[in-house]
Amino acid sequence: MIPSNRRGKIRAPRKNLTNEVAFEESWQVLADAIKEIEKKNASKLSFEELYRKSYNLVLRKHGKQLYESVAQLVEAHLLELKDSLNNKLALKVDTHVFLKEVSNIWSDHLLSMRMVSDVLMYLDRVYAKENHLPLIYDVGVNLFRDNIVKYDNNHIGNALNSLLMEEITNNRNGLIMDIFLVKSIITMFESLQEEERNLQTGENYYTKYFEPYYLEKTLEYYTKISNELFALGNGLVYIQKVDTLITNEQDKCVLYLPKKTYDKLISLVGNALITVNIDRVMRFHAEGLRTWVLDNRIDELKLLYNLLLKVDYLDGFLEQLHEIIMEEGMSFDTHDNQLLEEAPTHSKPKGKHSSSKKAASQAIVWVEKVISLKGKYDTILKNLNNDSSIQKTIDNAFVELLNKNPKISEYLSLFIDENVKKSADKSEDELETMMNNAIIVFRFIKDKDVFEKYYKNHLAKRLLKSYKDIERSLISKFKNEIGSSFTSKLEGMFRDINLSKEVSKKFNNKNFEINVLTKTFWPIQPQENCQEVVLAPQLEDLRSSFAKYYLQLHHGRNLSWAYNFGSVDIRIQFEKKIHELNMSLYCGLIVLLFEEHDSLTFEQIEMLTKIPKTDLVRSLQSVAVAPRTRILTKKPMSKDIKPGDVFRFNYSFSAPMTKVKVLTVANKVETDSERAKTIEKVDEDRKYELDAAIVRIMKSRKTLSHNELIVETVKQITRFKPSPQFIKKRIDALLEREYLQRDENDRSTYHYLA
Amino acid sequence: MSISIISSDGEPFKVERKVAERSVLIKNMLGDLGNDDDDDDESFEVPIPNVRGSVLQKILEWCEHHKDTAFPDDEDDDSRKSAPVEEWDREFLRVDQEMLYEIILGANYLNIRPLLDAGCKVVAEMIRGKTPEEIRRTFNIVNDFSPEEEAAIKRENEWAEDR
Repeated sequence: MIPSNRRGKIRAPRKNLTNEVAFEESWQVLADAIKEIEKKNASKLSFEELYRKSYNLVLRKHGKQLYESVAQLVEAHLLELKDSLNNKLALKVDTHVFLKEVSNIWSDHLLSMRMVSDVLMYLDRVYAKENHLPLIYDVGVNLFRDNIVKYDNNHIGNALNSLLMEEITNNRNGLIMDIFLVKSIITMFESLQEEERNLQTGENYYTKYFEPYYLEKTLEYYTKISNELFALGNGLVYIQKVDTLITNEQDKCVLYLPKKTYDKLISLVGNALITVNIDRVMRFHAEGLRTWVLDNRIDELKLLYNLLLKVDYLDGFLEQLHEIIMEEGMSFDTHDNQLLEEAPTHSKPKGKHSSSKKAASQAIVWVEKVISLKGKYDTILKNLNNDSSIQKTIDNAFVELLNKNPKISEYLSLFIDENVKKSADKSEDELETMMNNAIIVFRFIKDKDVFEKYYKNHLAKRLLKSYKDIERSLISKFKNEIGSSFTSKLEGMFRDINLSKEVSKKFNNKNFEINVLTKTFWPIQPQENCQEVVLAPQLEDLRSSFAKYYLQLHHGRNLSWAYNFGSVDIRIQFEKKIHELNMSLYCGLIVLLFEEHDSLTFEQIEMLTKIPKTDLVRSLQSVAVAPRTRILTKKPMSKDIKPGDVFRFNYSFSAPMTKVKVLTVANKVETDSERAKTIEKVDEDRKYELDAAIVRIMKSRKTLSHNELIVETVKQITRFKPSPQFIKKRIDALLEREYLQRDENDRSTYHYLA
Repeated sequence: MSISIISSDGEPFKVERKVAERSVLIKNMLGDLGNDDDDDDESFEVPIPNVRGSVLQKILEWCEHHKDTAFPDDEDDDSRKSAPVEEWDREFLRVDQEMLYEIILGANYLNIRPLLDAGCKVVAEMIRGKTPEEIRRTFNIVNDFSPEEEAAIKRENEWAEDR
């Protein structure tokens, strides 16, 4: 709707303001008023009158003149104040008094500027805004900056900086400080913008002058303290003091420093007090990281950790932690190795038997120590926030520590072996803990295939003796840990045992138990030279009838006999009593010979039974030398079995019990040569596994460069860490056998040959 | 607390403080004089010698009506300029020209931004869509251009003509 039609003509407004305003006259009134305001005498002034004066001046285009006159007036006032402050400085008045004075002048100035700018509101609104000039209030603030704080090359400003710093330093040293005063001065600094054109960057007196000065002085201060504390040489004192210092600084600064500086300050203080010295502090002998870790001093470790977190610097800590774990782990490691080596020399008279037993128990002790050590570090870790970098360090240290012991795989397997054998008298919880501990150690073993070898051996012996439920839970734990490829053969062993039980039952001979084992699943192999062993006639009947029965059941299978694992029970009428003797099959064969012979020489026995020589010696030792089971007598009566020895049946044998077990020499810890053999076997297996992996990869990829193939292969092999050289050897072998072929142009590229 | 506002011709107008504070001038004045206490029962006199009683009455009528209105931020020039005149304000400003101009001047003096804006917009609408000749007639302006000058100006501003 357009109102013009209705209104018709519009007349210019009535000029009720026509009387020309004389600038000087009005200004004088305003200037007097401003002076009164500065003297805090505002109450007798008429606000409306002053407003109207400035309104009229601006309306009459005197804005510029008014604006500049006000600035001059304010400046003159400030210069007076500056002089009085300079006088005070020259008189060296008390710091606090001076700061208070500045703070008061500042707040009075702001108050008068607010009143002045209210009176001159119309000037701000019309003149300043239209000409893009600062409002009167800001003019007042800038004038304060230029005529007081920064006047005469920042004379008062510098004095303020150092006096303020002095207050803060005194306060750090324990004197009381007027926090509100300090805060108000700092707020004043922040209000003093540096340059109008820099408003966007927010640069002000505080950020440009005070903050750098403050940070520099603070760094100086704390560097000095840090060095003094360091010189004391006590780690506990150091971290406790530093913690208090930092907490104090944090608590105080938050009260008077802007957030931006606060963050800079804390990182600077943290750096001066922690980062610079802490690595060396942790190495202090008295009360250092080593003491705290070895003595399990959780509180100190927590304190240290929290300090380190503040500065986000864990590298040195992790490095030293690693060293300490290695040291602690190696200390009992060497100790035990000594025991292991001493054992055979000291107990030689008792024979190999007991020393190997002792060695086995040492192995168990070793594993238990490792587990308890790990437990200790787990507790420490839990108290340190479960920090992932610390966890990684601990795990790495344990991997390194455990794999430094060449017998680790054997030890762990022995540990499990021993615990499983004794599982009957342990509670379920105890067994569960034991298994979990075993898995923890297992996790750290690099060459898991070596462990598998030992474990299979031990498991085989256990399974052939008796079968326990705990074996299955163990296997499933291993399976969870690294997958079924590791356990498939072990599970095959369980299957064999179960099938054998059924077969034995069906064969239906109460006194005959047999285990039919799949050759590839089991670590034990029938000895090549024992197929020729001559069985006693009654045993031979049993053997051949079972063979017939079994081959009827399963056509095309091939049975080899592992006599060296068999055992027999024999009832014999001695002079005093009938005894039931349980012994190995070999021993049984030897004893049975004496049904027909009165005396036999070593050579005769060997010929009649065809038992392999080493086994024969061991078996004869069991029945003719071992003190409790001397079923045969030997001439001469020496401990060693030698060719030419003559054996007779010992009718006068007696024992307290009716049932007697003839022990054969047990294998516990391997001898060095045996271990070498095990390693050799493992190496052999590794070759097959590598070959298989390489061929699998090449079959799917057809063509690969040497490096790519190595990378792929390493990825595929999980049970051990093959070295590139080893892989290269296998590649060469495969080239030779023409599974692979080199590229004609590029020698480092391989092709798969179907 | 109520405020007595006294016009140039000495007529007092008693209003609520809230109403008076629509004028930034009065608001700041009260603030500086330290009368922040709302419970204070004493009545306060504010002389406004720049505004006639009849005009002041109109302005205070506007203030009363808008005492609870929330206006857009003073600094937000865009929304202030583009907003159309409210229907009530348009009705309120349907007065003779002399009164309209005095209201505008009074609003400017008292620093009542929304009223000043509304008044100026109403005047602007009087100009919109008119030929120079019509504008001259509406505002009683004497044409002091020579015909040549006028032709030259028309040529220069041809691009802005509504076609």
